[in-house]
Amino acid sequence: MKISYTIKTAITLGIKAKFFSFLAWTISCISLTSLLAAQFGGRQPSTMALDTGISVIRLALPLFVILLAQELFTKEFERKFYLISLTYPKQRHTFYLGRLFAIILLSLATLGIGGLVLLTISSVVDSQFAQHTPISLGFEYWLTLSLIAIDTIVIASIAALIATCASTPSFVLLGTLGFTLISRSYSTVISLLQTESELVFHSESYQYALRLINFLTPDLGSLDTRSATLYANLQLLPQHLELTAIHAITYASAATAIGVWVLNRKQLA
Amino acid sequence: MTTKLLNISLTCSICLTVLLSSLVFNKSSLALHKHGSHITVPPAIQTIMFAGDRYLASNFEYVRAATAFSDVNSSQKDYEYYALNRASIHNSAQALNPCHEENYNLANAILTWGGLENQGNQVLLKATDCRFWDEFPPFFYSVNQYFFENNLEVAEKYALIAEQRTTKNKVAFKKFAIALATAKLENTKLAINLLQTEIDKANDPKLKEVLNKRKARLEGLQTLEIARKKYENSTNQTLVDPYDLLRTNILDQFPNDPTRLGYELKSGRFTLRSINIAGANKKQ
Repeated sequence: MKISYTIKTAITLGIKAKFFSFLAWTISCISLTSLLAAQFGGRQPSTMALDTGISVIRLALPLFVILLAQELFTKEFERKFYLISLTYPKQRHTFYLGRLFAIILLSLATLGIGGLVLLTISSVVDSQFAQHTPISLGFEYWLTLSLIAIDTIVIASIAALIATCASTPSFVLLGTLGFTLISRSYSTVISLLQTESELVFHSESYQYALRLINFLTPDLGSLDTRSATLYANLQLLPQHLELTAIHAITYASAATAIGVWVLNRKQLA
Repeated sequence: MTTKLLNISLTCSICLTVLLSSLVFNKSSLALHKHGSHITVPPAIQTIMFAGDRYLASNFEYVRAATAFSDVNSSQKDYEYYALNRASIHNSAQALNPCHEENYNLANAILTWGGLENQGNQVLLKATDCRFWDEFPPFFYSVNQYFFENNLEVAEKYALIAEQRTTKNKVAFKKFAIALATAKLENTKLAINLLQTEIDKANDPKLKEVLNKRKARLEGLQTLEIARKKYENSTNQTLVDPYDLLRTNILDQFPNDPTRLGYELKSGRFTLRSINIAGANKKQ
């Protein structure tokens, strides 16, 4: 059985699960928030539009991934659709990889379309008002979007793994959201605790304990490089960005391998 | 259907937890305020509350700072409370997004000239570090160092940093640095002119009102300083008791400070009185 066939089926299923209405909601959210923020944010308009737009994209993508994972994995096991989708000669790893690729492709399509919409809005706002600190919509912008894509791939692989292990759909929601929250915020929290050391007692040992999370989750917070595009300056990129990106990709492939292993050993009755 | 219901209820419960936790944090920070500690939610916790999105958290903090002009028509105690609150909002906005392009401007205009120059300077230092191309944070910092601390060395150093970064104002900053080196500046007049440019730039009528208050405060200081010089020229002795100005009829009455913070006579010169609450100026 070819994997492309599985991907095609999964994409059809994903599109049937109100993909276009979600896409429309995301686009309208991005355009509304960025336009309103540019008008009333009190900052330089195009910087504000770009900033809030990227925030909306980064908030919407994990939700979208969770919805798709529930649709393409949990529903399958819950309603015993696997009696059809996993019949001989279909292999389990093809099923898993095909569905995961479909999730990634659909969410990356959302990211691309949202990114284009945001690009148009920001350049329109930018052309109306000359700013003291201009934004950059070239290489820096696409770099930021591609790092968000890596972030989405990690979250999708974790969501698929959780959906294969979990027995209830709400666990997919909670587990993936929790993972997203922790892996996106811990590096920022560590760096802020260095300046605000009076916030917790024994902040050094606390920071040391927080750094241990680095072994458990990839640093998705550092993958948010929007200050480079907001202030048009590549020097604002965090240090060792390529290592962080490689770490994230490795983590995603490891999670996928574990997911395949779990599904192969899962007892479907 | 049931999964949808479950999802909706779970999302609602997550939102509720976040709301409740923010309420609890606000409550506890209000309780802490009596001992002069944190007033807003610390930036590290805000990052978690905004799902790891420090820029979004910074935007929210900045909007809070830009819309909360609560110190108009307030008593002195309220003014000090709001000013400290605002100082921590500005500082956490700058900590969350150190390159924020407007926050340092507003913080410098409102905090520094409203009796919280230390907190305003912290915002400026963060902005100077992150915005390595921007000449205004080091320039403002230099002015503050000169005006409040009378620290000419640091002031000159930052004026030179500003001069290196600028493309348009090279001559003006160089002149400023030289004037600092030779210590020949009318500092109150300079400060009033700086504030006037801020007032001209401001669009919001409430912000204008707040800034005008600070300008009136500086003009009061100017009046006092002129009166002191007159007194010292006529009597040939340094002023010790400010009421001597009223007794010798140099002043009819002391100038009225609209922020109700007042002025003080420090080592023979009038200065702006700054807010000092125990523990609030801890990061020195």
